[in-house]
Amino acid sequence: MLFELLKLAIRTLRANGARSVLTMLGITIGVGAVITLLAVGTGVQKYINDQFSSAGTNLVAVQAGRAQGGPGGGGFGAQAAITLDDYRAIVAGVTGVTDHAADFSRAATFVYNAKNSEVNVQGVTASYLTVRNIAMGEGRFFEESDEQARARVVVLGPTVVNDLFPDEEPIDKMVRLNGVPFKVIGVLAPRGKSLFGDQDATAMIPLATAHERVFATQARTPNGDLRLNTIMLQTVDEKARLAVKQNISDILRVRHRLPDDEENDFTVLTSAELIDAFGAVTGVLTAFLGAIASISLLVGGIGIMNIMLVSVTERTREIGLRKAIGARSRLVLMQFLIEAMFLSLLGGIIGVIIGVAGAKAIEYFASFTTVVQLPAVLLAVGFSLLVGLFFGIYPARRASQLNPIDALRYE
Amino acid sequence: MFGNLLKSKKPQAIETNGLSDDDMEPHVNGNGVSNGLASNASRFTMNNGVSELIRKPVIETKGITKTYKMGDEVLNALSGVDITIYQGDLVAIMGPSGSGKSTLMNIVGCLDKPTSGTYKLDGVDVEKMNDDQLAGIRNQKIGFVFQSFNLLRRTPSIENVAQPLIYANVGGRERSKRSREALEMVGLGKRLHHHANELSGGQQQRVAIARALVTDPAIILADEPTGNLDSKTGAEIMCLFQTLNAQRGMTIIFVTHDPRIASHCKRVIRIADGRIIGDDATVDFLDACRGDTFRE
Repeated sequence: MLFELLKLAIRTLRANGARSVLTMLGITIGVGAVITLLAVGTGVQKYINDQFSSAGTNLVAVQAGRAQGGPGGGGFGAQAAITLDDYRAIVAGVTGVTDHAADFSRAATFVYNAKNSEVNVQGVTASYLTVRNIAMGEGRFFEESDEQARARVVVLGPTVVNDLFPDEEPIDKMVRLNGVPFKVIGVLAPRGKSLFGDQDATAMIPLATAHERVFATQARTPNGDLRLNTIMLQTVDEKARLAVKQNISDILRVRHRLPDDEENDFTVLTSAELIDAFGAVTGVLTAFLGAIASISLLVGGIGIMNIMLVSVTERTREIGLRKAIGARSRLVLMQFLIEAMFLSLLGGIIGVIIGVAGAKAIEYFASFTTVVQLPAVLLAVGFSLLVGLFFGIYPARRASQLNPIDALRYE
Repeated sequence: MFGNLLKSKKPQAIETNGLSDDDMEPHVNGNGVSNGLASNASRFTMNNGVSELIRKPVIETKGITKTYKMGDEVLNALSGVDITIYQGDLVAIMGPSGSGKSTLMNIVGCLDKPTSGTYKLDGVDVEKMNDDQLAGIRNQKIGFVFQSFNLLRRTPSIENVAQPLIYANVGGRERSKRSREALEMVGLGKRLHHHANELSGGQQQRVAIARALVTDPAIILADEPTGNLDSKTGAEIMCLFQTLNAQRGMTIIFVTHDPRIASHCKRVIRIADGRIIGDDATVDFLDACRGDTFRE
């Protein structure tokens, strides 16, 4: 019987071709918009996830100041600092850590061949590359011995190389950083742009060299301690992360002499927390886009209800006849419901095709990765079916409750 | 081929005519309805004489009343209607508008329930049934023919005819077989796939009659079936009804105010002010198949 009703619905919808297509269009656009916007939102999410994953997993980072309002929500307090001694104390006191690194970064004037530019110079420990999961392009990175010797060697990011050595081999060239001569010993592999800017616009030098030769005037706190920007620790596994975080916090609170009722003057972040925090933000973004698109789906549903109501009125005599020849009310209800649901389902399926095509078009023209997920497709199609059901019920009930005697007389 | 149509309901009257299934088929299928019928005209009188005693009743109503409440006023549309209609009857229920004939038709057609009284249709008490049960009864036992045909537009004749069988849960193949047979019976064997809106008024009414026949109902209830047709086409349709009655033994009930329809019936029940005021057997009713009798 269901099959018969479906055939009947298809025949009726075909008989009113133009009207059916126009009604469907509302759902098609709604579903298409949902799919495309969800694909964009998911694309953003994936992009951010990749960014953090490329920074290395199982990372715990310590920075000075208190993070306000979570990631991206305000800066860090300027007054407090973390120092080289903090770093040493953490490394000595924390267990469950496989590797660790620290950096001290400032902008410096970079001069080569009478060309000069402002470059972000990172003073880093020799372990920095492995901890951050950064690859070398050519040449070599500096070693422990370079650090101990406060060697004047620099490893350049690809952007700096492109800017200052357009047609030259940079290795073994001499450059000046804040007036101090350095030898280029290596070039990093390209990493691309991140949320926080061009990761390749960097120059790395040994941490001790930065502290004592290049940024000597900025490197010390009023107490004479050597400042650090970030301390990074790689934990043995996911589970160790929370213990490590707590451990660091305990050590630093003692070292910074914080009373019990005062908040930390430093921030311990884990990569997983960052991914979660940004995931939450982008999740909200995706849901927001989806919700906006859903409104058009809702409007499409109202269109279906409208047309179905017109259809019920128009076909009053048909309904009367069907009841006269033996259709029970429930079957009349189902006939109109199936019509509405078929209309919205078909509109939804066409919408999926258009939505996927839209996502691909965005990817092609805006060179922005979009991700069409099967659950999103199923959700949109399922939702369109529900829209058909919801907005079909009222007209279908009206049809099924018609009195056959009056319906047959209806002019 | 139409064994299912005739079954046990086949009235004695037809057999006394010496007509069997085999020799009526070629008339209908081959020559069309009108030609086949003219020769039967003289037998109508004979049928009538025998019928009432041996036929079993298809419709028995006792003390049917129907009252409508309109605000404080109570309107008695029917006040105590007793009718018995027998198998093989060709009967017109006549009355002016407001006489209660439409109310009676709705009750006889199981579209409405009486306020009081009993109604037995083809041996089944229907007055207490709920709406769904009545829908089933309408589907199995009643074939409706309306003044305005009520066909599905842009739908082939055969699909139109098949609609009642859908609600009877008859499978697709069986459905098209029976629909085709019903269309052949009304002389539209060559118009199976024409859409209803491509057919003339007379043809449309034939499709509607085929739709009424296809479930092999106990009665055909025709509400002013010639009202939308010109005289000549109206006569053709009446001829078709007479043929179905004479050859198939179909019980056919007309509800009409048109005396010309009544003149083609064997029996005329008159109704006025919600009561039966006359119930007469017509001895020399007119043969519509001669074509000249329907004109004014």
